[in-house]
Amino acid sequence: MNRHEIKEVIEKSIRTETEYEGAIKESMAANDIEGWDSLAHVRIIFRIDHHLGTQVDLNATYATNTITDLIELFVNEVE
Amino acid sequence: MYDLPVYLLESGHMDTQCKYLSKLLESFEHKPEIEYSVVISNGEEKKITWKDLENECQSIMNSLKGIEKGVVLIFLRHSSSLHGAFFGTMMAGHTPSFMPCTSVKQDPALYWASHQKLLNHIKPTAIITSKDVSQEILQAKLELGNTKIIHIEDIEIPESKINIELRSEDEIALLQHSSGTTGLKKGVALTFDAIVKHAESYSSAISIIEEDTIVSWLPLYHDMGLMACMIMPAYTSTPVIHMSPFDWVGKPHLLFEVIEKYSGTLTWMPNFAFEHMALYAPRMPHNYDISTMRAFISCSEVCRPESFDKFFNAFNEKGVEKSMLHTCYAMAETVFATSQSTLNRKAKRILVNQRDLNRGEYVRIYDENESSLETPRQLIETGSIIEGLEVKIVDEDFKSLPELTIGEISISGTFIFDGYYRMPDLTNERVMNGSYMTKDLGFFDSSGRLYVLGRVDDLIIVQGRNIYAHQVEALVSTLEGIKPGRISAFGIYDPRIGSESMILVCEVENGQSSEESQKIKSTINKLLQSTIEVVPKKIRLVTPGWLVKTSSGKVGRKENKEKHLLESRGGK
Repeated sequence: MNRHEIKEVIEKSIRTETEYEGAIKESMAANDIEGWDSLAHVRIIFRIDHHLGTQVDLNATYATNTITDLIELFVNEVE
Repeated sequence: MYDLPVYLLESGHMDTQCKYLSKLLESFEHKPEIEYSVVISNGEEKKITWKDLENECQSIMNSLKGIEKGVVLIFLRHSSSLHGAFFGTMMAGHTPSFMPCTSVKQDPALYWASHQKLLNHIKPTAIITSKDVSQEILQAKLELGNTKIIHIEDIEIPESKINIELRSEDEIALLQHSSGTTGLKKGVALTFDAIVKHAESYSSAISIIEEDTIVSWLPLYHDMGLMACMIMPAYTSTPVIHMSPFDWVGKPHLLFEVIEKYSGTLTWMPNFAFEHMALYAPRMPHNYDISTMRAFISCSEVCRPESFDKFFNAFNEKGVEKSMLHTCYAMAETVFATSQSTLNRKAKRILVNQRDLNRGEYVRIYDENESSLETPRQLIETGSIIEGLEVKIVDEDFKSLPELTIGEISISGTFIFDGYYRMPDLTNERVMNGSYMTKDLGFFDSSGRLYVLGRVDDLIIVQGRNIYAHQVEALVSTLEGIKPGRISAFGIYDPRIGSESMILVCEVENGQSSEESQKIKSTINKLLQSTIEVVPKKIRLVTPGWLVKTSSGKVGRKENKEKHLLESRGGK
């Protein structure tokens, strides 16, 4: 799975769990997306993990600042 | 009457003995090597015996020597030190109160700045904290006055044992900080008498036995975690296995892992947690033996039968039975539990018409197979009222209503709180003729089972956290770009997560660019995440004049919620 495909999975998971309808840019942080609270964060990660077949360390996801960081985290995990 | 330990008999406090503390001292004396608790943090397990707890308490008492008696705030992250800090403070004659620390998603500067008002109000004589948290407090430049900071890393056991200050039963034992945004939290004051009577009544309602082991991931600053999983079990000498809420939320299977390892029998969690566990079910690493469990008790937000169904369907093969799923109606103002469903029996469900569920209306119960209802809703009992409390359903004039009629739940009895700390006006507003007016709506069925429906006021319960809409509006009102006072916050039940979500509608100046709008939304999210740890599900920025006003000129939440829902569905 390439970076673009991983990015799509992440975006879709964010939209499903937050029901956010606006544009999602890689530079955005959780605070920029309505409905992305601490429980939504865990649910987003569960969903991404489920689709990518990964099991990331949740603490590592908390350390990400932007969606780019999150994509890179999963790209490394998939590799 | 309990036998007092020898060193108490020698301490000369016999005439003012406090039953709660005496019970703890009895455990110190008679079962020093027995397990009091296990605290699990970052995969490490620390067992605490009663002797360990006594030593921790003695160290805390030692560190509080010479400090004027008063409220001691405990800002500690999940660790084995929490218990000694709390009980040691109590034993030193002070009034302890657990407070939450920052989470990884919160901005420490915003979080601590929002505590200044609380500190000014409480004027704590001491704060027990860790060095990392204390660093955040210092960097936030909070005005602490004469409050002494005690670092948990520096406490030392005294050379000779310090006598416990046994206090009278009607003294304030602790403060439980309940609903409210950080700056305006209400300190629910509970006497020793109240916590003892609650512990005796509630442990009897759930038939606590010697073989019980409680498993909990609940934070101790929440009444459910504090009362059900620390104050009551310490009194009944029931061991508790404490996990970190942060560990559990990311790895929900840890709950089952701990139940299996420690033969857990009881656990409490809010409604959303049943949904969260069910969502996680496919990722469970393996089957756990959880057959020792007697009850998973749902509490802290309206109990939903559909959430129980998801949990049951997800874990029935792992040993979860319907008779294990229970409900409790609780609040800090009654120490914790007010009602409890009967263990070993399935909680009762009824089918009603959602349209009947209005204040003052009679609730007709339909046959469970009735299919003609346009708006069917299944309700689940929250059980019978526990001994020592009396509950009435009342109308707007505080007159009692008959069974199956919806009204406000009012509670009186022997373990009602002693008032909100230094808030006499608020206390008088909520306690009328000795009855606590809950602002919860509910009704009794013909067999005395209580059903809780929702709120009279603007409280929004988001994943077990109590958030007042007017306080959120006041916080957001201070932000640049928002028209002051032109905000409406309300809750909408989200069946996907089994909890309410907060919606925020704010009027902004005309002509905002999309970048400006995005910036405002991000600022709102950051502020609310850092102060109340809840972010809105949706923030609607609307033009001036959008918000509906009531006849008295106020922004009406109910009206704006209806308008929002109508527009969301595509209506005009």
